[in-house]
Amino acid sequence: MTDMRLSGAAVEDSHGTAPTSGKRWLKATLIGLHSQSRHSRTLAFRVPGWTGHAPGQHVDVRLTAADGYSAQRSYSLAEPSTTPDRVAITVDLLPHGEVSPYLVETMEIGDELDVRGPIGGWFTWTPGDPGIGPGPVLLVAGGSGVVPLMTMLLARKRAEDRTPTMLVYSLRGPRDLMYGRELSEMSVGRSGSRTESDPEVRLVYTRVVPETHPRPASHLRREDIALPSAWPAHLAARVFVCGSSSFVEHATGLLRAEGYPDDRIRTERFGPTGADR
Amino acid sequence: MTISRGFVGHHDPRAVDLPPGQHLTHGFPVLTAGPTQMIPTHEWSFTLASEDEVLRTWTWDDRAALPAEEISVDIHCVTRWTKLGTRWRGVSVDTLLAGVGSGLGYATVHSYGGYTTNLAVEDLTGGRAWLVHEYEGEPLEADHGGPARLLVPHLYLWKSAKWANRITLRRRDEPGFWETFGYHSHGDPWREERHAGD
Repeated sequence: MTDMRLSGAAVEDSHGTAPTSGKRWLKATLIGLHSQSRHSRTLAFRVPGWTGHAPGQHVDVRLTAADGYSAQRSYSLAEPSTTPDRVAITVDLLPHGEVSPYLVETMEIGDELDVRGPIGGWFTWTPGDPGIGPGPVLLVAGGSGVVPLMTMLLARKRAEDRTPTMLVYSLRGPRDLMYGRELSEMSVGRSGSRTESDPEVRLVYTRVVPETHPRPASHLRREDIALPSAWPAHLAARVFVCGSSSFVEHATGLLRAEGYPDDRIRTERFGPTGADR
Repeated sequence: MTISRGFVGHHDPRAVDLPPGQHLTHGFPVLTAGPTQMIPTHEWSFTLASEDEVLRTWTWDDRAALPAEEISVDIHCVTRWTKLGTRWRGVSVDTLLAGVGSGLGYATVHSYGGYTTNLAVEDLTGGRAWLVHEYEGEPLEADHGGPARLLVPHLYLWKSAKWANRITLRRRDEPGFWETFGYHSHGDPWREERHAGD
């Protein structure tokens, strides 16, 4: 996801279940790269000493230049924690950014940086979370805000969790789609047709719509976040919203209109850019 | 600390939001409509006037006797550079206007060399504008508007007239030099008021 500004809640809350490797910086070596969209890619690192993380948590990344100058950013972890010593992030390019151009365009396999974490514990969902009970769970993503929500979905799939779950993913157009393959696999299921245990995935294109897509281009609307009428509950037990500050403001306004009390909504905002919603 | 091969960075550790369309500069570009004015301080004077009469005049020594303030601000040029954390020293325009109470809402700031720019008086007052004579602890150099220039950091820098020598208070807003060439009358960088109609 893009360079992030962490909310106070994300940093201060200590409900996280994952162990922490504390404030120690660990050396990370780039071992895997793949493109997500025209302007984003996923980077996987080998990090000896990384102790695992919960879906939705972050990692601090520190780059250091040869002259000693360094820059730090925080990114959502892009994969659930399964392999020891492994950290992945998905980074969206900010054209005039300082760190994201290096991560998206310059860094090559074998290059190194430092990481610290995991960080945060409020904006997390580990399958079986007793606070969520039988669900449902609603995930609302604006742009690269899909990254931590995708990590939650991947963890749910790996755990064969059956909590009814819907992802509403707002993006400008098809070129901006991240995790396209994983999302289409999830929404049609292994058998080729969607089963009850698969998440419901709704793509909300705000500017450019692919030809076969039924929904016209518009910003996120209230009907986009309404749970399928066949579901037993009208409202989700927990909603996670991640995107730019303006997207999160817009989405939480719709959620309140839909009847959600604030204590069911967890949000995460990133800045400074990103007006997509 | 691990060195990341190929990383250079912007070498500015502060994470800041810039006004739309701006990028950071670490130099201090010189952009002027005309040639640099070279005004010796013993010839320098500054006048406050209405459209009808001169209200006050200061020599360089008069100005030096006024209370000066340290100012540390980001500056934004309409040519899309922003420079962070510039340090200046100067006299608040509030001090220059103290007790005038003309009730006139607009001002034209004039410069040696004939440059003018228009501002609302409310943009010149309330601790938001200064007549500055030092930059980064040194006397302000002529190419940056010395010996004294206006500094209105919350507006694009063309409002911060170099070599300022006069404020004329007016009843109505009158476009200045760049404003008659289509620049915005107000010039708020956060609203990206670059051109008339923005």
